[in-house]
Parts: sequence; C-alpha cells; structure tokens
Amino acid sequence: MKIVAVCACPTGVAHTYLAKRSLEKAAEKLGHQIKVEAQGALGIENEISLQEVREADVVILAVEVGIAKRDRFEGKPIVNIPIQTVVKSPETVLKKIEEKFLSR
Amino acid sequence: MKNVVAEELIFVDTTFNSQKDLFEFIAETAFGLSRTSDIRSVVDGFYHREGEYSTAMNDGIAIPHCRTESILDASVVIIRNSEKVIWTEDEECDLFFALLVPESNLNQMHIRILAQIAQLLLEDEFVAQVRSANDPSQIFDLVKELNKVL
Repeated sequence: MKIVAVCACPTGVAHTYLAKRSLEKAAEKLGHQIKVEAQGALGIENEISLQEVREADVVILAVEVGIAKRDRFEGKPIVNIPIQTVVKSPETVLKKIEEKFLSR
Repeated sequence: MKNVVAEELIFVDTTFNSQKDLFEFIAETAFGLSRTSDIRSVVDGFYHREGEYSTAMNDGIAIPHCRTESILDASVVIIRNSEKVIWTEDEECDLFFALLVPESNLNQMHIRILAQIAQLLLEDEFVAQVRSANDPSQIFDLVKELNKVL
C-alpha cells in the first residue's frame, strides 16, 4: 500500500518524532510505501505533497493537536489513531489498516 | 548554554518506587544543576503531560517530559531504576529518559537532540546497551555524540 501519515503531539519534541520513526520502521518491515510528515516544534518536516496525497491509498493521522494543511486530505480515506498507539504498536496499526483497505 | 546530555544527569540502580518520587528527584536534580529555576513547576509539568496520555513506551521505558518557563536549559535526565515503577494502571517502567524543554529560547538544535534521543529508544540495540551498562559513564558514552548533532 501507499500510505501518507502526519504525526503531531502536544509538546512537539518527543512523540511526534517517535511516531514518525515507528511508522517508517513498521512500513519497511511490512513492505508498504510510507511518507510520514512531522508537525512538531520544528514546524512541518518531510511535508507531504498534493501529488503524494493523490497517490496514497490511505491517510493516517496520529495527531493530538490541531494540524496545519489538513485540507490536503479531503476526500481521502483517513484513519485517526492515537499517537501513543502508533508508538507502541505500529505494526498492529498497519496490519489493521491493511485488512480494512485491501479487503475493499 | 549547557549540554543537553551530561553524565551528571545519568543515574543507575536507583530505588524509586513511585512516579512521584521520580518526578521530584528529576526536578530537584535539574534545580541543583541550575537547569531549572523552580522545582514545583517541573513536577507539575510532568504530571500535566502524563495527564494528556501516558509517556510509557514498550519494554518498560518511559519518556516523561515537560516544557515550562522555569526550565533554563534543554536537558535529558536518564534513570535506570533497580525495580519497576507503576506508571499507569497497566504500565510499569524501570528505564526513564526525562526530557526538560525550555518554553522559550529553545533552539532548533536542542529540539533535534531531544527528538533523536526519543528515536534512539526505538532501536533495540541501543536499549540493550543502556540496560547492560555498568555505570553512568558507559551510558553517557552511548549518547554523548548527540550533543554535537546539528
């Protein structure tokens, strides 16, 4: 699958980046393409382009605060997941999404 | 400006048995090293952040953190406790990487360092090395390069 994801946590220094790395590692292991944007204390990093949104099968939002440029994802299948769940069990998260979207 | 990672901020074989004791120790340590101007606000900051959602990760690791005006220098306090501390109803932790984040004057390099430390905790090998280190200086050796991250 092609996945795009945005991570954002309240303090913007720890979980945002933890979740980003967790998703990238899990996606690599499970053979999915993923691009993870971090919206933390450093602003937007690894920004997802409109082209990437268009090509994505699913959008993961692991955000505990309001995010910038949310309107990019309008009309796409969006999965909202608590950021802590992404950090703790990223593979389970991706497998569930896989089941849901590949069985469509 | 003090280094974010420092040997004087690393502790092993401590015997804390509650989250409260741990938070107070971290805040007092930071105060003693002039990294915060106020103990209470740091402790409160930790509780406030845990209240949003637990900072426990897998493998008995927690990354309590707070961002308050009273914090003078970005700091990482590393504590390897001898026993598990009850963190939430269903989480127990014995390895802590506490992040102290200044509210203002936080430079990009410091955020980068704090983020990198958090990400290191996802590497099994790094965690194993921290767990098997004999003393604070060995743990410091594992993380000291981070002070130079740009």
